[in-house]
Amino acid sequence: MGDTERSLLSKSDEPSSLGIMNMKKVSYICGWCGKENEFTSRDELNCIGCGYRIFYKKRLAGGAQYEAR
Amino acid sequence: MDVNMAQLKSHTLENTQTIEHPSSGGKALSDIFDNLTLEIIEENPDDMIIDIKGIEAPLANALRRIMISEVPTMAIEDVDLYQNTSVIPDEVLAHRLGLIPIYAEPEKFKYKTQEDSHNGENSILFKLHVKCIRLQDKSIQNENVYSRDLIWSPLPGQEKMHIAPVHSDILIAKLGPGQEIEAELWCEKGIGATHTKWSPVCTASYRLMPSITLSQILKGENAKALKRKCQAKVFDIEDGKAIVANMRDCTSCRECLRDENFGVVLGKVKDHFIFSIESTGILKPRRILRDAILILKKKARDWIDIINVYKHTPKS
Repeated sequence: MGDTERSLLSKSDEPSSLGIMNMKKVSYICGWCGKENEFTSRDELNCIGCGYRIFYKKRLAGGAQYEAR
Repeated sequence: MDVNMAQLKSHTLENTQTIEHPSSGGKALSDIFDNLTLEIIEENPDDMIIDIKGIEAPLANALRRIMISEVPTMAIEDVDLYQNTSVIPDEVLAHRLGLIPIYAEPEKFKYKTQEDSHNGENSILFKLHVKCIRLQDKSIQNENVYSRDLIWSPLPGQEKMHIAPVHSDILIAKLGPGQEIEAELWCEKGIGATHTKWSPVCTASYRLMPSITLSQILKGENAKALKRKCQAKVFDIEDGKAIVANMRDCTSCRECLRDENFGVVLGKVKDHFIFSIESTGILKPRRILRDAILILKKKARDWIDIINVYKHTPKS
C-alpha cells in the first residue's frame, strides 16, 4: 500500500491532473469595456483594462444557422 | 333608388347586396371586363392610389389579396451567425434581418427548393461584420448597426446586378464597446403567404367611393354649420350655398347625419373601388399591380384547364 500513500503525498506537492485542468486559461469578455481576459480558476475575476468584475463567455467557434423568420 | 348605391343611414347600411351575381340573371363576366375602367389618381415612387370602376368586391378582393401575399420578392432567409456578442438574442437578430427589404429584381431569380444549394440563380449573399470599439479619445465607434452595413457580395453570374437594402438607415442592433456581430445572410425568393417579409406591400387596401348629395339648398348660417360639422372638410361654401367639395375625403363618420335638417344623403358606390397600394420600396406600386393582375390571370387560366380536363373525362 506504499504506492498509494506516495501518490497522495505527491498530490499536495505538485499539480495533479485535476490541478492542471484548473490552470488552463479560458478567455472571457469584459462586460464593461469588452476587453478579452484570460483567467485560470485561481485568478481573481478583475478585468485587466478596467477592473470590472462581470464577464461573458465567448461564443463557440463555427457559428450557427438561423432561419430569419 | 340607385341599385349601384349602398345607403349610409345613422345606424345602418342599406342596399349592400352585390349587383352582378351570376344567379341574379344580370351580366355575364365578359360584360364586367368590357366595362371596367382603371384610372391612376395619384402615383408616387412608393405609393399609389387608383380607381377601379365597374368591378365587384370578389374581384377587387382577389386583387388585393394577391398583391399582399402572392407577388414574389427577395428577402433574407438563412442567417449564418459566426459571432453575436450583442445583447440581442440570435433568433431575434435573425428575425430582424429577415424583415429588411432587399432591392433586387425577383424575376431574375428562381425559387430555391429544399434540395437546391445556394447559388447565383436562387440566392443573394450579404455579409455583415460590425465590431464596436472604444477609441483612444473615449468616443465609441460603431455603436449602431444599420442596414447600410450589409455588404453585398455577388455570387457567380450576378456581376451586372444592382442589389442593396432599400433603406440604408434601418437600425438592426445597438452594440456596446467590444461587442461584435458577424454573419452571412442568404436571401431567397418567396411570397407573402409563406412569410410577411416577402410581401411587396406595406399594405394594399381598397374602399368604396363615397357618394354625398344634398337634398336641399343650404344657405347662410346653415351652410356654415354644415361646413364646420365635417371634420374631413368635405363641404364648402360657394356663392353662399353649401356644396360637396371633396367627396373623396369622406370618412363615413356620419356626423352630418346627426342633424336631419341638413338633408345630407350619404352612400357608397358599390362598383367603384379606391385602391391604395403602399410599396415596401422593392417594386414600384405600378409593377405590383401589374404582377398581381398577371397572377390572377394565370390562376384563371389554370382553372380553365382544370374544367376542360373535367369536361373531357368520361363520367363513370
